[in-house]
Amino acid sequence: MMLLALALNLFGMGSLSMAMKRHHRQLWKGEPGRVRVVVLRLAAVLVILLALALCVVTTGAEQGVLLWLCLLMLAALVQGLLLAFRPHLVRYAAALLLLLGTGVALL
Amino acid sequence: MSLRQSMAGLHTWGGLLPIWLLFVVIFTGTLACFDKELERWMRPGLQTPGQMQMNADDVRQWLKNNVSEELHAYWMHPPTTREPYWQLGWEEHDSGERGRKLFAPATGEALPDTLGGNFFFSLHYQLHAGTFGMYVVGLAGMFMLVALVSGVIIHRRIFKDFFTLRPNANGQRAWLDGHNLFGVIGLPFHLVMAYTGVAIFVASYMPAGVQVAYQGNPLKFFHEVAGGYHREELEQPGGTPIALERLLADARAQWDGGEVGWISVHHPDDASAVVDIRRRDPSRIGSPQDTLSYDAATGELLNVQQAGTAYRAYIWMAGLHMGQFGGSLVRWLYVALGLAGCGMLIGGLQVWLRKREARGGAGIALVRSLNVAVLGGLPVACLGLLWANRLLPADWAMRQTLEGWSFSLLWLAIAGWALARRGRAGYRPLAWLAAVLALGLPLLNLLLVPQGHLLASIGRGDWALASVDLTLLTIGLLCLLWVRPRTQREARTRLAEVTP
Repeated sequence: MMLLALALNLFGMGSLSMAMKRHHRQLWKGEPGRVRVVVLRLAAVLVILLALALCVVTTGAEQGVLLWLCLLMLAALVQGLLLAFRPHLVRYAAALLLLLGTGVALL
Repeated sequence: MSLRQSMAGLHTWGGLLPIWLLFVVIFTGTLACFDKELERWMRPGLQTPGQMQMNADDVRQWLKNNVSEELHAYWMHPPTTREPYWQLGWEEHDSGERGRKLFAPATGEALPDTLGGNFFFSLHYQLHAGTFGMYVVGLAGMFMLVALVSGVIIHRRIFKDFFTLRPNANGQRAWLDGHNLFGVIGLPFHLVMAYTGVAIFVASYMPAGVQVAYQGNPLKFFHEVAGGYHREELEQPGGTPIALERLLADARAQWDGGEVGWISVHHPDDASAVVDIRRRDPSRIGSPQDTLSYDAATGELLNVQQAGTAYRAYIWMAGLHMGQFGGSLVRWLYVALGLAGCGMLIGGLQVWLRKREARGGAGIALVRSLNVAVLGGLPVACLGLLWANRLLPADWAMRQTLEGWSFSLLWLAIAGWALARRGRAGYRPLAWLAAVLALGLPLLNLLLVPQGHLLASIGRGDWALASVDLTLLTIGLLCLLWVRPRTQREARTRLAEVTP
């Protein structure tokens, strides 16, 4: 379940970074339009809140919030390092982790 | 001078001064997340699974048979899933000397001494220098808080550069990006750890008030704050002690089947002897504060701890810092974020160096040498300690001392080498050494520890133990990857530098 939370956080951090001009240019052509920025940021907030809900439901409020925050920091670090050293993996990393996390959570 | 300029000066110099010490604290703190796993790794006697035959009274009997001095107190930890063995500690009445023993789960024998995983924990919070070391680390923690806050003030683009790391930019720029990335993203963790770390010993930083208010008896203060129980010595011989197991059974019943975490007996030979039994609840961040105190002879329940809100808040913060709740996931996350802290320090040091190397200046050689001595020397010395633990015969009475010396001498040797070469030799030789030491340990285990080597531990599904060897292998491979011939690295397709 925590793997899924990490995946969601990575997805969120990925969306947030893609809403930034510099990182958007790394993966796509040009800068993101206004609508795209808003959609990406909104999606990020939703997904990160979903991760929070997942953490709180599985481990309780006290530890859930803490785990969520730690996972969020870890996800942001991973995203930052990926963008710096392996930007072409950014497209797949979160999706792969999401599949893996869902698989583990369902098992 | 603007606020930002003055904060920049504070951040640069107030950060540089304690940074090597902070690296020692953060690095060993990161290791100490898994101190109990390292403890088991360092004591092969704890690696064989076995049915626990001992109980608390057997442990007490061992103490009676083997320690003849009058004791001020003794304490023990019953086996848990993470530490499946009895632990005993004691303090002698006259000399104040302390002893510690662990008992093999399979045989119930007392194990030979080693520095164990506790070494890293002790280094983390008091540098093995007692109260003085604790003050030094506390001061470094306060410097860290200052550096974190001033760092936030001088950072102009916290959100714009949130994910920015340009490894191919010129040296100083790339390292500044790294410093910012690890610092900003990990900021909540760094801030909380520095704050709670400083707060754990808060009562000791300015002891004068307590000394005056409690007539020079700070222990009374601690008992009162914690709502604990204390009985003054009566200087009369005590009666026959009641079986500890009976008290444990009573305690478990009081807590509706709660686990016992810690048993301590104060002045066991006196008529005032008290047995304190503390609960263990790893599902909570702050451990429960409802210790039961019993009369050691009659077994009468004397007191149920009633801790005030402030003390519970304090215990919660200490628990948050120490990460003993919620299983290994929390500890792995703390390790990852602790390493981010190390990355922040390394980045900061490199920024300082790169900025000044270009235009020259005083102290560059010293900073560079200290970097190699500490950033490279400490991890290698830690690996050296694990080698000493494996190679020194377990039955040598001097083993603990020799382990300590091998750690210190190896570190001193690296520091001396770094200073002699004025830091110019760089990290590559140390990375080679680390690779050999880290990859060698799991191999050495194959030869020396039939019950605890990687194949055996994975075969048993003992992942806590296997993770130590697996981590060593990973560290060794990463070091090898780093020292591989540079031409290959040059040939790699470089990423086009992204300019803002």
